[in-house]
Amino acid sequence: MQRDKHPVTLLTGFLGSGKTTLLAELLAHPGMGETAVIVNELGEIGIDHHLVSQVDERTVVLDSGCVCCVMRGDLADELRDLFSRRIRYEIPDFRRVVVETTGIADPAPILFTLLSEPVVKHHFELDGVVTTVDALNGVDQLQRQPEAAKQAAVADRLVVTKTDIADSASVAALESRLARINPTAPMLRVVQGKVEPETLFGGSERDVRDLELSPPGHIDDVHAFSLILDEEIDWTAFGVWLTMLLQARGEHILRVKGLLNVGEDGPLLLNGVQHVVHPPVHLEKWPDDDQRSRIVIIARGAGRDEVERSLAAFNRAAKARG
Amino acid sequence: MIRFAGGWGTTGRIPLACGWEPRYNPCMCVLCGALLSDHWAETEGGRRARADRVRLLNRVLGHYGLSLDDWAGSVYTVRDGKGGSAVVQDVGTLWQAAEGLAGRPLDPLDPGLMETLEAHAEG
Repeated sequence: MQRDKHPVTLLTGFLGSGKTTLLAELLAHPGMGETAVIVNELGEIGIDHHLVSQVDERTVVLDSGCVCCVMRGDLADELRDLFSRRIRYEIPDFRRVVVETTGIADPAPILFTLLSEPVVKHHFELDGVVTTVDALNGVDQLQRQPEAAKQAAVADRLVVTKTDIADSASVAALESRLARINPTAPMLRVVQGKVEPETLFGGSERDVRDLELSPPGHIDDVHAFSLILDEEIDWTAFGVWLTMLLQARGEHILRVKGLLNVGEDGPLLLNGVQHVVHPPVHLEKWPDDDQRSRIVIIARGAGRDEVERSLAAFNRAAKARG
Repeated sequence: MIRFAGGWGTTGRIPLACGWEPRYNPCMCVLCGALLSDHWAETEGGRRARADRVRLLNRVLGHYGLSLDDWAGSVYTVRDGKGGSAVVQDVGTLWQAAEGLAGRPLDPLDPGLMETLEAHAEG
């Protein structure tokens, strides 16, 4: 009997950004029963009625030598162990898993592990990435720390913390910066970790076509841009193009999200983090009459015009016969 | 070089003790023991899409003096003009091997490559 996969939420954020406070408050919520937690450092979370286990950061570098495609062997072992202990009734049943990363963790290898480790990916699925950003220090960290910018770029939910002790100008500056880095993620302010779990977990995807993107301040900055394509996309060409782009520029293409018109009744939903691309999802129908493809790319350095021209060139070359 | 064991594309359900029912018989690399499954860019469209992919890949790789063959619908062989070759499992692992053969980065944002593809599309 095939059970549903256990959703895994990745909780990340730079040092001191409030991850542990948020997690401790979340786990005290009655709606968060049956949650297994994997953390790097034990002892900070004052809970004992949840399954909490610790991982030591241990990475396995794969032959590709790629920085983001490293298997987090520690996490894979821990998830496999959770699963096998549960089916042996050694631990209580759990419904979801929350993985809290260290403040300087690169989230890409964790996502790679969830999506590619053969056993893990059949029993667990990524529910989303929640990233905390501190309103007092966030702007500075995003500017100076590449890990902080990457954590914000890969987020599915952005949680702005410490808004009660930061001045309103700092909060506004941070939210503006976050909206430029990652317009695809809903943003919410959370004080002392007080939040309803359902606002962070699961929920509906933000339609990439509804996003309003700001022009980047500096092209070298992490910034988002969108491509809107009137012509139908040849999925084969898109796969060739994106795999080549991620091989060549994967370090600088932090996120790709899209709703693609591939000539079917509904669109194809695409979601990728650096070299790691989720299996594409076919939607049964379009949400409205606008059936243009839209792709949002969060990148460091690459310009919108050259990316658009390149995709169009691949798409048309695939359609040309001979 | 990667060597494979197991039947490619074998269908059927194999319920395991843990409850997992793989949708297909997974292949295993005989060297590293890793279970292999389809790359995200190659899960759609079957043989016709694979033929289209090979045609487009040859246009792209041809710009760098390389060519590509489909080997029995299971792996690709990429070759340079000097007798060098590499066998790759899918389009995800192709580019690194192709870069090694070409001796330079292969970049879809390369203006020369874009001009080549645009000229081809215009016929």
